[in-house]
Amino acid sequence: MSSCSHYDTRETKGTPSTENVKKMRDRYLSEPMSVDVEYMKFYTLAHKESDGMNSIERRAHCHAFAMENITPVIRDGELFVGNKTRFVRGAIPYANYATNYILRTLNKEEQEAQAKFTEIGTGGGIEKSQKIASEGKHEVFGKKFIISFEDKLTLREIAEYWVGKCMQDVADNFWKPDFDKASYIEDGWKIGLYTAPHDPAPEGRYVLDFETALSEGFDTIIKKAKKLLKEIEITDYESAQKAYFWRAGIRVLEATITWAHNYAKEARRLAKSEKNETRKKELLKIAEMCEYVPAQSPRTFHEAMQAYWLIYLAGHIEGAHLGYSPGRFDRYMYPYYKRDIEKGITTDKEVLELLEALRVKMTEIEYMASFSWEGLGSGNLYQNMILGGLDENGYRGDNELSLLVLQSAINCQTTQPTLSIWYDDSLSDEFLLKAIECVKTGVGFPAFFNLKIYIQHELQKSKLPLSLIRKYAAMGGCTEPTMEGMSYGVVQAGFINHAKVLEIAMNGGLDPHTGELIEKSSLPQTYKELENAYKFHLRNAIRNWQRYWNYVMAAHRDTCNLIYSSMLVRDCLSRGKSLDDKGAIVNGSPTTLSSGMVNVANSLSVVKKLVRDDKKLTMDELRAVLAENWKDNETLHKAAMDAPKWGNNDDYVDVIYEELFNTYCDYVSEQLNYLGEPYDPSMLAISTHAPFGKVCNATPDGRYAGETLADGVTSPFYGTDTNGPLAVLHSAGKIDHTKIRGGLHNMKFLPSTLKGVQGSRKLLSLIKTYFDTLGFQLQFNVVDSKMLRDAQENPEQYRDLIVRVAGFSAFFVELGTSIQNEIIARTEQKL
Amino acid sequence: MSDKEPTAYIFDIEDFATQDGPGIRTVIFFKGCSLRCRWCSNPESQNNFPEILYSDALCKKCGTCIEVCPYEAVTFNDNKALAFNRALCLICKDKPCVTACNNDAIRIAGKKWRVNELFDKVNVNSQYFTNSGGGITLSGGEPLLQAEFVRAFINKCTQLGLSVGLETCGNFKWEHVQDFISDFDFIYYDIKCLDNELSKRYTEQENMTILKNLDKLSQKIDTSKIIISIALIPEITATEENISSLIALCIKLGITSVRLLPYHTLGKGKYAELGREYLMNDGLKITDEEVLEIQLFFKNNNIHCKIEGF
Ligand code: SF4
Ligand code: SF4
Repeated sequence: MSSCSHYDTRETKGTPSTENVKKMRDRYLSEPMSVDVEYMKFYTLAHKESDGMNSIERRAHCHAFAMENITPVIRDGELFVGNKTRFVRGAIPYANYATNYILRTLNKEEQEAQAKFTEIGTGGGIEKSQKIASEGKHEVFGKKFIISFEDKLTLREIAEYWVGKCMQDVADNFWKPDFDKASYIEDGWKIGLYTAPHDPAPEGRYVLDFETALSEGFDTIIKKAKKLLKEIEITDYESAQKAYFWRAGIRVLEATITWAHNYAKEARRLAKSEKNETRKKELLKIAEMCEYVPAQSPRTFHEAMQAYWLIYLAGHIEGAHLGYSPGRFDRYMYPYYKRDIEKGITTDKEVLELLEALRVKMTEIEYMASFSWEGLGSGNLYQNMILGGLDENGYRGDNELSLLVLQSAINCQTTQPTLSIWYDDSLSDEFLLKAIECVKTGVGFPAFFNLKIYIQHELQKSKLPLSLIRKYAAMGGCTEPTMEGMSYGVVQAGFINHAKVLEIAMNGGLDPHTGELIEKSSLPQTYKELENAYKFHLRNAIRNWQRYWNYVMAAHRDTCNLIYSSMLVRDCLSRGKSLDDKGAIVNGSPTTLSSGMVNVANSLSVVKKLVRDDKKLTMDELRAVLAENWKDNETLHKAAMDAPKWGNNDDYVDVIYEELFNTYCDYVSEQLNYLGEPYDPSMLAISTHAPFGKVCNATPDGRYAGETLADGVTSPFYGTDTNGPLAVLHSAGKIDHTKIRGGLHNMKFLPSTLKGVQGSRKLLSLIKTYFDTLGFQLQFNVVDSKMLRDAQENPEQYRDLIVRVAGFSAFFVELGTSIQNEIIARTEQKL
Repeated sequence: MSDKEPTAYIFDIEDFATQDGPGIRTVIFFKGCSLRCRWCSNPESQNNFPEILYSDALCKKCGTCIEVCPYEAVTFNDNKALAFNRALCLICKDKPCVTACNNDAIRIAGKKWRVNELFDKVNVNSQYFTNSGGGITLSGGEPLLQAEFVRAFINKCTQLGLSVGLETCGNFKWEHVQDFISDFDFIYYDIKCLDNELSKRYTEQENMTILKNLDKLSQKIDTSKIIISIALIPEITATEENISSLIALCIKLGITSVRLLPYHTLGKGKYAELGREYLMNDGLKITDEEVLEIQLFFKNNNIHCKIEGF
């Protein structure tokens, strides 16, 4: 019917509510990304001087020493303080995790090696970095970052020191000689069966126990640790380990307090010379707050914001984190908000300003990794703040603060933190409509998650009491639920390329793209044989990877154990055990991630149709056609394209997908993780679907060689969902989402579709119904493709255009071209 | 009435339509209409039989379709462009031309559906309908030209309490529909030109039946269920005179709700695909301001007025 695309405009567009925040945001937008060596410099210094210390205390000491010595930076306009680095957009080169990629980058080898695999965006801050480098005092590091010449020398020294000592090298020396599948893993990297080694980051995907940290304050926690230390008798290795852990924990928490005090000192110093009376007062207030928190429990909401930020940031600094998240912020911060509002100490307007400022602060943190990973993760940090949900008694969890958090995201559009909603039917209308209003800004969040599903998952997996799951269900990382403040986090930092598994299966264990033999199997001649071959190779690919990763985690325990975070995750303290020693309550968290399963299901559907049912061609003929990338075989290509595809509510293919999904979940959980718990399956793709597609030949589903794969768990391959958005959701609702932790489903809408409050209500009904039919996640892009094409042409005019990619939002102009194209191509859900 | 299950030609089914009634709706587009509105943006809806749509832009002129057509309905003309002889094309059973084309250049608009089959197809969405207060909207073309089918279909829906809405051009035989027309939850009733001469010129039909049916309808059903739908065509329907008469008509019949559909040319390409000529003048345009002004005009007369695609 009539739809006039020239009328499409975004319905809501916000601006920061105060000049302060606007200044902060503009400062962020105008800054380049920089490498800051300071933390690593002090860390390395401490490491050099602590030879002989037990590993757990040594790790604590190095981090603590660095925290005590890094420069406290307070920027104009900030109302609460704390910076990860000295730069607005700074990243720490964690050589203690992996040093090799740093050396390779310094030697400019990294760039060339990975250019064939991933792409990094070119606009925005990235462009800025390159421009600054061309001015002379800096050099480009990798592709996105700049580094001063002086720091570059320091970094080289640091990086060289860590050779043989960093987690990666320690792990390599462990698994490479003695793991019988070592060559499988290395071949897997080479052919793109797995993502390239994830340098440096295995950390993240968990949430600290902010509730306790805020309400007790570090002083109390330290006191508890000291008491335990006094009481323990050393009778064996284990009891000694406990004592070491407590000593380490005390050391780190005390250093964190010192770090806060350094900020207080800096604030007083600045206040002294400050001419502007208002700013002077603000600085003195900052000083007072940093003298008080996080050692003690905050007295006001403003102080709670300061405390929260320091507690959060200190954890961020300790490790190379991705997916480290604030969790249920609107729940644990609410008591402080409510108290102040009741006392009349603060107003919603003031709270809103602080929340907006927090968005800028969280976006400022940058993450550097090997070039390959920057392409995959699109440089995103996956800090996920989840709102709504339930309380322990099953009552709705949203409150006035939840609304303000949403409003802050509408007003101050930044990529981080990404917002999520734990959806339950009982959530208030006001809250849900506000969430949709935020979606309508086109920012790509909040994403909606079905709490029912996760509760069922957790009841089966961890068997925790229902009330506890309701209360602490949170999100750690882009789409992976976690139990807040009580979970081991470290993600299994690798993705399995399902399309590659299929290629190997089709070709008797040989990768047709490189000619590399991975694991010999017989050449499938029928549909059934192909299905079995796929399962055989999938199981190997998963199992080998998981076994490999356990070696790495063993090395992690000895080198990069998280002491600070352990002190703030239940029940590490009382058990006297760090996260890596199974101190947390929930330890089954590592996940195996996967990408491209939709392409496999579609491919099997084509084989089922053309080879098995219609007998149009044999498997050998199909192999030949694929090797030639469908060349001169347009008729066959059309037949492949016409075969049933996932996302159309067609059981012919949907049953295949279901079967693959279940098989995958079973295989993942067969293997135990480093803590002796079954691996927990999770599916998401971040940006892996582009590079994974790049290394695959043509696949039977009609995909051409090199083309991007389908993203995530249930989103259809672009262009193959021809029956409208509801059919897609009917397909997606068929799999048992309670089996996995995570998963995502993208939908894109033109703004006109969601017009007005009626449009919002329609979207809410869509979410509700999909969740009634046991779907797990929905996220939305509200843009039109014309706008996106224009953004490709004129990136400078779209500097602040944020789009949802896959579990996270990013600045569109900073994404690689193929991801940009995919976003544009993804079937437009025209209403 | 025969006891055979009725069938109808349908050219599109759209899930999650949000502009054709309340809530989440599935819209069913019937083929066949007795009007020939010059501006129609769905020209493939007009004939009551399946038709070939051929896209010259997608066609690579490979000639495969020429070889496979058993009725020699496709040929190359002198300047190597593909020509469909629509008189020869029988829309044969297997439609080899469609399957043979590797470039999706040939499509067929219009598929025969049985009532039960169609019902099953849309009823999978019933949870979405229930949760959103939505349902099904019959559109077209003119659904009421296939009255027997519509009667059977709406019977099935009302048994389950599903909401069914209608979009109609008003040119139908009242006797054919009077027994079920009050079962619709709402009716978008298209009125184009109140001037009969203009109506004849631009829709190729007189407007008498349309107006008479509207009169009967407004006596038979609650007028709050009737929404007058107005395609705003510059110089033709979007004139001060036509709008004033429309307002007078609404007031006379007690109708309090209209919706405006501003003119656009998005359907233009489909005329070429059907081998037809697009007869609207180039450069016709209606501005946002003009649309808003018309809306205000209605509002000032206490008529609720919604703009679609705005
Ligand atoms: S539908 Fe049949 S008759 Fe018509 S052009 Fe195609 S092949 Fe020929
Ligand atoms: S088969 Fe398709 S591409 Fe080839 S001439 Fe016919 S319409 Fe054109």
